[in-house]
Amino acid sequence: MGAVIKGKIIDHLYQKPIEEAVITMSSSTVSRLVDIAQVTNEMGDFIWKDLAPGPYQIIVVAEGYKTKELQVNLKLNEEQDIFIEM
Amino acid sequence: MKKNGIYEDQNSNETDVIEESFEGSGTSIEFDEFEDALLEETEELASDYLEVSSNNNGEGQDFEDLEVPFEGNETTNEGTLAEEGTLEKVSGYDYSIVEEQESEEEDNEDQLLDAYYAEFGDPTVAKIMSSESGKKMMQEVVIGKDDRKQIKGTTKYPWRAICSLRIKAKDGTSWIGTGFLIGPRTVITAGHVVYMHKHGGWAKSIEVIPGRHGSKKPYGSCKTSHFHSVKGWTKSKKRSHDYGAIILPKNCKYGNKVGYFGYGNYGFFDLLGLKVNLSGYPGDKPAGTQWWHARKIKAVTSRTLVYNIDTAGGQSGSPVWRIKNGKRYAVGIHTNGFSLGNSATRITKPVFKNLKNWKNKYK
Repeated sequence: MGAVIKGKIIDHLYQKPIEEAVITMSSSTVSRLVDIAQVTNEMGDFIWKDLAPGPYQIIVVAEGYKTKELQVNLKLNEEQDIFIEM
Repeated sequence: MKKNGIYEDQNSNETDVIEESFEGSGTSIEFDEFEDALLEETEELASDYLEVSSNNNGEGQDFEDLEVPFEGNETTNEGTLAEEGTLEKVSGYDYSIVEEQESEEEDNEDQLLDAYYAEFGDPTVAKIMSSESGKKMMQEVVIGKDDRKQIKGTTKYPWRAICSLRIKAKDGTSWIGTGFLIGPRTVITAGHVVYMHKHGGWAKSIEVIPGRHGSKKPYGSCKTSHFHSVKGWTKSKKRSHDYGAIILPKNCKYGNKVGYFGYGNYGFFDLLGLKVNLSGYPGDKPAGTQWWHARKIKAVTSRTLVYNIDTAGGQSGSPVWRIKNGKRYAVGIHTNGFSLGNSATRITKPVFKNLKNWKNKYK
């Protein structure tokens, strides 16, 4: 089953969702992480499923915004919601 | 076996190499037999390390399994970069880094090896990795600073044969990845790009953009829902079988225009320590920009290649290639990022056969 991250990315100033933001995830402990990146939808949402437990670094790149990096720590089968302002 | 009316398996008993394909809803179903490939695969599983010893002569092997590249019909090739041995020559890159042997974590070598190969599910590999030759493979452990170089001349070969991918998954999520042309209509990529187990299976569609440079699409783009992979990936989700193909529409023969990579099934000692190139479209860089990096292959397993080439999400499906006699040959398909070494699906004999079939079938 694996852990799940559900995220929303919004513009800090206007509080509007950011579409087409690119989310990459990396981990120093999870070796099975595939090198694919997700793109947010028109609601600024993304969802990443089937993740192994452990610490992850998330990088968000969106045109016109400063790149944002954050750390999350996922537990076994946990579903974690994150809210990112750019 | 039909499932949901969209794809058909070739052989439900064997899961490793039997090809699967998907042409989108409402289109005809591909049906191919791959008995030869299956036989090779079975033999390889039983004799992974016989291959090692049979190639243990330090010399180039006699390549039957080599498909030659094509540099395309584009006339704007005058700026093609010269090569540096097996590597592309990219302006501003410090090639001495490639020579360095990083060994800061040798004290933890045994633990790292155990963890790494346990995770990759290949127990026989752990045994050989404990040998002297195995230890040699892990002399480099730490991935150093990020010294990737942006490719700005993406309309030159081979960069234009590398494609930015925009993937729409069956569950509605959108992703980015990389692929590379090996024929007029055949784009090779990672299996998890065309078939996403947790996001609905076969991708709904993929937009292929060769030579993309930021917002510029010098050759336009083509969208398709026709994909191939193997059962070892789609059914068994084996990391070692993580590869697939995107088949472009008949009116979109990009390979004839921009060219395509060759590829080869190289032996263990041809690959170990080989300096290789990797270029793709990482998601941690400005959108749609292509980035190149190079390092030696530091570990070779029966089905994977491990290297310290820096990558990021979005580079799945990137070619891992060498230059030989001025020609570009892919030796692996990049799939995974990990601090102990990023890795590719190795082009072994069965993989080679499937790639060749996918190339020859769609011209």
